[in-house]
Order: sequence, then structure tokens, then C-alpha cells
Amino acid sequence: MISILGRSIVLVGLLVAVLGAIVAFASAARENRTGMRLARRAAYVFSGTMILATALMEYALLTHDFSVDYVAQVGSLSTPTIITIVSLWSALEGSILLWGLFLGVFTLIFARQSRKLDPQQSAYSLGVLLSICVFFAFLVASIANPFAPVEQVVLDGPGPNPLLQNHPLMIIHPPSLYAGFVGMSVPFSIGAGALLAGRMDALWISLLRRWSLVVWSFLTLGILLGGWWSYEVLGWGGYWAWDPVENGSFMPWLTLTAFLHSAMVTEKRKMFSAWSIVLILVSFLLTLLGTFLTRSGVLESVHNFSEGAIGPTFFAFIGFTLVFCVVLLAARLDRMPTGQKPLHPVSREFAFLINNLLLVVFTFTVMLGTLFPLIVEAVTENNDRISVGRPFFDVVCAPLCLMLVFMMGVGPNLPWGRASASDFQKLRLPLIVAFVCAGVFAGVSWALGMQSVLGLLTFFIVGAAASVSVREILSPALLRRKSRGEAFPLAFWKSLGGSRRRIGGHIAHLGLFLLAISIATAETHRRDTRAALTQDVAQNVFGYDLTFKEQFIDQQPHRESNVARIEVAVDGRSLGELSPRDNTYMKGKMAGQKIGTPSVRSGFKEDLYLTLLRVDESAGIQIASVRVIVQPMMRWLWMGGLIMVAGGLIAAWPKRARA
Amino acid sequence: MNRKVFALGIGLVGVLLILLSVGMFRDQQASEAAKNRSQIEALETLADSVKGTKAPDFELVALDGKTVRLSDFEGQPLVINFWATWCKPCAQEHPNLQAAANRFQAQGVGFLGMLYDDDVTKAKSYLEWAGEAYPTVVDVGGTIADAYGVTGVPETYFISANGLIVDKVAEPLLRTEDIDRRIVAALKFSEEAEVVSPLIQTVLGEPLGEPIAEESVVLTRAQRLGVDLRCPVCRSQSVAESTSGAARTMMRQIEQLIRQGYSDDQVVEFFVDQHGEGVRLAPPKDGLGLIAWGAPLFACLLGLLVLKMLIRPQEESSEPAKHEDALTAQLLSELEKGE
Repeated sequence: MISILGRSIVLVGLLVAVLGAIVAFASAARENRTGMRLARRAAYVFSGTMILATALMEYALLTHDFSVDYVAQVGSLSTPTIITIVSLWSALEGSILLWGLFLGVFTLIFARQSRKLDPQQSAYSLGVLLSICVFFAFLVASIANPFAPVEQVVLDGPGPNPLLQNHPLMIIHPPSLYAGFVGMSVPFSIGAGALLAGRMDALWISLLRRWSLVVWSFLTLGILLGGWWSYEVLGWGGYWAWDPVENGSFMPWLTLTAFLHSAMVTEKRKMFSAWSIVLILVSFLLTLLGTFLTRSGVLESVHNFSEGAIGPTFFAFIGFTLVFCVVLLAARLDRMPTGQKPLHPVSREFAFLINNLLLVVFTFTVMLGTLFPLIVEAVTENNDRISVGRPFFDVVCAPLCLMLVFMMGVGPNLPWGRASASDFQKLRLPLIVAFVCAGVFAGVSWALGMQSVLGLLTFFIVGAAASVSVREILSPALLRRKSRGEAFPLAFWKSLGGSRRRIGGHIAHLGLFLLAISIATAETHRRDTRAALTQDVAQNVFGYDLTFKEQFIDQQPHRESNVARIEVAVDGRSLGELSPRDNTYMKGKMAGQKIGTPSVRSGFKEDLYLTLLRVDESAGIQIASVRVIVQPMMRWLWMGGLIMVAGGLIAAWPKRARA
Repeated sequence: MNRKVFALGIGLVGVLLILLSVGMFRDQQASEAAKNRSQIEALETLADSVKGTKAPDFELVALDGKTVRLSDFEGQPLVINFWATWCKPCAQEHPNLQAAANRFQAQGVGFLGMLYDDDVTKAKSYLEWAGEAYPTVVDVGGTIADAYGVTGVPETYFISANGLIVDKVAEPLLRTEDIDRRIVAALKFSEEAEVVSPLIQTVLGEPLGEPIAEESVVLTRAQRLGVDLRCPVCRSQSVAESTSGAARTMMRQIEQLIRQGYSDDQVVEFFVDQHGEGVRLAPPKDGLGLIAWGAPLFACLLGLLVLKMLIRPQEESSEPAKHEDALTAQLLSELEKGE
């Protein structure tokens, strides 16, 4: 019953998207406003079908309707309700449906926005967006049909992937990343619409920028949560491994970041608009590439999602989109508006260009490293001989990151147009302050035990760049206080309204600085060892007194946890207990396999990270073997990432409508 | 239609699609098989590397509560079998080992089981049911397994009367003759008392540095080196990160090499010699690998060149718009080139 209903809803969505796309393109070509309205309605209906289909699937999951194959695949009567709700994205078919939902919601928002925009451009954009909807609706309706009826009736299913059940971060990481990936369709459609119409005005670029900021925030959050999850779950204390799938999400983030900066030049100086659009197109293509790498099994990756038929279809879609973009660019690039302004090497716009260069080279490097095994395979038919892993990326990307941070300190100091001698004089004081800050910062970190040269260099550059950002955030408020005599908090609040974009941008910068120094510290001061803890005997590891109290089995309906209670103390002062464990799930593909779950004591200074390796018994005494990792500043790392997201959202927040 | 943009775009798209199709249309089964093969080869290499070395000493408590040391077996060949009840292949080889013990213990060959990451109660009841021809000791914390270089269970070590590891088998011993042959070899070995030269010296020669006694120095250096070497089992993780038996064995080898005074380069050289170039997690700085290392720098320089061409001083601002257009297009194309 649900199978038939769900399939029908999706098919209606597919049909409406096809018709809507055709109508949108036709009405754009003829500048027909009636057709435009029709296309918009089609978009609304498509969104409705996707929302309805998702709701129906949730209903099937919650009522354990095992007549639906997907429910039989991931559902189980013993799974807790919250996990049942989120098992929508625990396997391929459901994830694609979630993509459809996001796409539907984004399409709805854009379609409503488009009422007030240039009719032809928005008709083209809506046409492109609905074409993407056609592809996803096609996936949901055909090869990844979540509503397929079950072939063999079951009374109970295996439950979702244990990794999904094992940590709450896994519940929110995929949706936020998907929101970023799917959301990228909207900026792409806006950019492609501008190209198709052959024009681009200020309103359009600001629309593009706002959407990109929202997408960028989702991507940032998704990547951050992915790293956080792997840190909390995988047991080796790492958060980023330069795995193909991680790189797949990082590359569009880089190009989108480049766009956010080039868009400022386009908006302020009417320059580089063609280049900005190229960055948008490339970002979208990279999200497709990222998805393809995740789902096709083309590259060897820790993320095992490789699931048959979807690979070739996606491959065809990428090929088609790539060719479409190239043809579109070749046909319309010359029509994009370009200012005739001069470009001086010491100017803010040039600083943005250097930033773009660094980000593009960064993207290129990550892509090269990711696809390198394929290059080797193409040339030598054996990709086992050369591996491109973390040591490569770390070495190549560290200087790029440092240069980027350096430019983040330089750029905001430069004026638009051309820097003159008087500009430098004005800069003298802030620059001195910045360098003093940097020196103090690096000095303090050295005193606290940072010994690595690269680490200290990072602290120095970050110190300088951060003081520039702080100045940029506070200066509008200080100006207000001076001119209007407002108290500082009020002045700051009021200044937010006028310079939200600048302040949001610099808050994101500060978040990144925090992230940068946390990574530099965590990577250079990580300590990792193993210890065998005898029951009730305290053992000192890296300054912590660890006492293994007992081992116990925690039996739950869907899993069995083998928990070791370990007491932590420093200098005789108890810091509470950590309980690293391994969970064994009863059902599903990994049934019976132990899945370790580390236990982390997070602090402002450092994290104590315990992984349970095994518990042995010898002559009646239990001995727990644990892996002990101490990494400083991890909490700051997550905070830095969250600050970046907050900065992006502040910058994206719409201006108050003025009467 | 801008032909330059079109030609460049199609060129890039072509390269990307060809690369992806290499992965797309590869023979999945064959590559899976190749992966498995290379994993087995890596484990065999690790097994070979312990041959000829001195068997590490231990003092462990047996399931019946008695203390057992390696020195208890001094002067007689010894078979050590690492096993666990959760390991199915262990159960398959168990009868063969029992039979061999019954045949050879009379000839003075010692047999010892070592319990690997398992529950003592389970092990006791299993042996009650399956037969216990020789004692089993509990390897608490797996430290002895680490010292012996165990990469998983079952693994069986054949030790000569003078305490050298003559042979190691990293798979279940399913045929009686396989066990017999190795025991006979171990027996003969003690008679001839020939000393096998350890592998490290044959590969690396003398260490370049002085032996290092301070353990914290050894561990820090090992940790740093381990990050650059790939775990043959997990593949995407380094041996420093991975908790697999193979990775731990390799970490022990690194530590051992450092203790003996071998330099960092020598340590890496040893693993490249043993496992091939793929054991490095970064591409080599020659041949094809040079592309990976050089391309980012090249892209940077190319980009700077393009930026330099974009610079337009104030005076020329009256030039027609067409000019900047062409330059922007060029910038796009040049920056894109790498991708």
C-alpha cells in the first residue's frame, strides 16, 4: 500500500519537474510571464511531493511497515524510536529521498523569492533548478527507489547501520552535509540563469552571494561534524584523514570560499563577474564529483558506500553537466559585464585575487592527490605502488594554509582601487599593534610548551591576522561611539545592522584562526600510547592517574556494551570516570562485530581520550588494556569551526526590510 | 561562442572523465582479488621477518593457575600456538595440533597455547570439550603477542632448542604434514645449531647511528615514522594510527630498529624493501610521484604569472572593455588548467 502510494507521489513529482523545467525554459526564451507563473507552480508541486514522500517514508519506518523493502532493510522492532526516525538516511535509498526533500525545500524557497526578481533570469534559473530536480526525482523513482515493495516478507528487520546508532553526531552530520551539497544546486541555478540570460546585475550577484553563504555554512557544519564524529567514534583520536570522501566535501568548500571573496570584488567593483560565476559552476560540479566518489567505489576509501547502479547514472549526470557548463561558458562568457577599472597590485581587489589563486591551487592540489591513484592506474595498470595519504597532503597543504591566513591579515588593510602612501601611514599603528599581538601570542604559546617551529610560525601569523579581524569587527562600533556618543554594547549591536556582512565575515575568519592554532597545537603535541591497567591499581599515564575499577556488560534490546569503568585523577584530585566500551549490535551486516567507542574527557587545555582494547583476566585479577591519547586544544578546534558557521550565518542574514 | 574557452573546457572535462572512467570500468573483482593478495603478501612478509630472531621471553599464568616461562622449555624445541575461542579457523586446526602434540611431546618437543584476547572461562570450557593435550597460558594485554609480532589468530611459531624462531605460520594448520615438516625442521635446527642471520642486517647492513636506550625517545621517533607508513590491513590508516595486529607488529619493528641505532631513512628503507613502494603513505619524490609533488608549485607559479598579466595601471584605464574581457577569460582558463 505504502509502496504504491509512495511510488506514485514520486512519479507525480518527476512528471511535474519535467513539465516545469520545459515550461520554465520556454517561457524564459519567449519572456512569457504566464508561463513563468506556471513553472513556479510546478516547483511548488514538486516540493510538495518530495515533502509528502519523505513524510510517508517516515510513517512507514515508525509503524515498522516491513512490506516496504527499505524499512525491511534498515528497520527493526528493537531499535529506539529516535534512531528509527533518522534511519531515513542510514542507507542509500533513504539518503537519496532526503536529498529530494532538501531539494524540494530549497526549490520552494527559491521559487517564492523569484517572484520579485527579473522574470527572464529567474525563469532560466528555475528551469535549471527543476532540471536538477528531474534527475533526483528520476533516481528516487528508478534505481534508488526507497518505496520498492519487499520481495520476501519479514517479521523484523536488521536495524540501521550500527555506526549510525553508535553516536548522536552521526545523526546530524549527514543531513547538514547533504544540505550543503544539495543546497549548492540553487547558487548553480542562479549562476547558470545569469549566463543563459546573458546578464548579471547587482541584485543578482547579491542573491547569489547570500545563497552561497547559507550553503557554505551548511557545508562547513557538515564537514566539521564529520570530523567531530570520527574523533568521538573511530578510536584513533583523528578527525581528518584526507580520505577521498572527505576531500570530496572539502573541494567544493574551497571553491565556494573563493567565490564568497571574488563576489565581493564583483559586487563592489563590478570586476571579475565571469570568474565568480565560473567558481559557482565549479563548486556545484565538485559537489557532484564528491557525491560520485562517495557512492561509486571508484576510489579506495574508508567510507564504504559503494552501491552498484547509482555510480554509472551519476557518472552520466556529471558528464552531461560538465559539457553543459563548458558550452554555456563558451557561449556566454563574453557577455558578462566587466568593469574597466584599473587593477593595482597593492589593492584590496588584488589581495582577493591572490586569495582566489591560493584557494584554487589548494583545490587543485586536493583533487590531484585524490585522483592520483587513478592517474597511476591509468599509466601503470597497478595503483598499489603509489599511495597518496596524509603525509603528502599535510606537507603540501600546510604552506598553502599559512599563506591563506597571512593574506587574511593583509587583505582587510588594503583599500579598494589603489593604496597610496597616506594609506600606509594610517596603517602604521594597526600594523604595529598586530605584530605586537602576534609576538605576545607566539611568546605565550611558547611559554605554554609549543616547541614546533611550524607551530610557532602559525601562532605568529594567526596573531597578526586575528588582531586585524578584531579591529575590523570593532571599528564600526567604535566609530559610532565616537560620533554619536552611544555606549559600546549598544553601538556594537547597532553596528551589526549596517555592517553585518563585514562583521560576519571577520567572525568566520576568527573561527578559522582558532581552528588553525588548535590544529597546529593538537598535531604537534599529540601523545599516544597503550597501557595495561590492573584492577584497582592506579597507573600514571601522561600525568593522569588512571584506575580501572571494573568491567560490566550493559545489555540493551538492540546492542550489548562491554564497558570498562576507569577513574581519572590528577595529583590525587578525582576528575570523574571515563567508560570506554565496545558495542556489539545484534542484527544487521555487522552483527556480532565489536565496534569500539572511545570515551573522551574534554577540557579547555587538552582532551584525555581512552579506547578500550581488551579486558583480560589473569589469576582472578582483571586487566584492561587501553589506548591513551592526549591531545591539546581539541575543544577549541570544534569551537573554531562552530564560530565559522556562526559567522557565515550572520553574514547571510537578510537586511531588515526598509519601508 | 568563445572557442578558446570551449576548447579548454572540453579538454579539461575530457581528462577528468577519462580518469573517472578508469575507476568506473575497472574489473572490480580483479582489483578486489589483487587487494586481498597484496594483504596476504604483506602478512607473509611480516611472518618472514621474525624468522631467525630470538624468541622473546615471557612469564605468564596458565589456565590451571601455574606459571609458565619460556625458559621452562630451554633445550627443547617448542611450538607456540596463538588462538582464541571466537576464532573459527583456530577450532579447525585444533585437532591437528592436539594430534601433533600427542606424537611429538614424547620426543621432547614442547607445546604451548597462548590465549589471544579472549575470556578465560570460555577458553576453559572450550578446552574441556575439544581436548587439551598441552597447557594454554593467558597473554594479558597482548604484550607477548606484540613482542612475537602476531598479526591475528591463529598463528603458530616453531622455536628451536636454542631459542630462535625457526618458522612462523600465519594461517590455520589444516594438514598434519605441514605441522610435522616444521617440527622436524625445528628439531634438526637444534642439532645443527646454525644461526640464521637476522633479516634486518641483510637488508640494511650496519646502523648509521648509535643504539638508543632511552625508551621515550624511541617511542616518539617511532610514532613520527609510523605516521608515514601504510597499514597493510586497514590501508587508509597509517601504522601509527591503526590498531590492527599487522600495524602493531610494524610499529614494534620500527621501535626495534630505532633502538639498534638505525636512522629514520634506514627504517623507511627497510619497510620499502620488505613491502614495496606502496608502504609509504606519500608518493616517492621521483618518477610519477614527482608530478604529485611538483604540480601544486607549478600551478602556483602559473597563477602568479596570470595575476601579473592582469595588473593594469591607472593610465591605461581608457582602453576598450574588450581587453579586460580577454584577460579575464585567460585567467579563468589558466587557473582552470590544472584541474
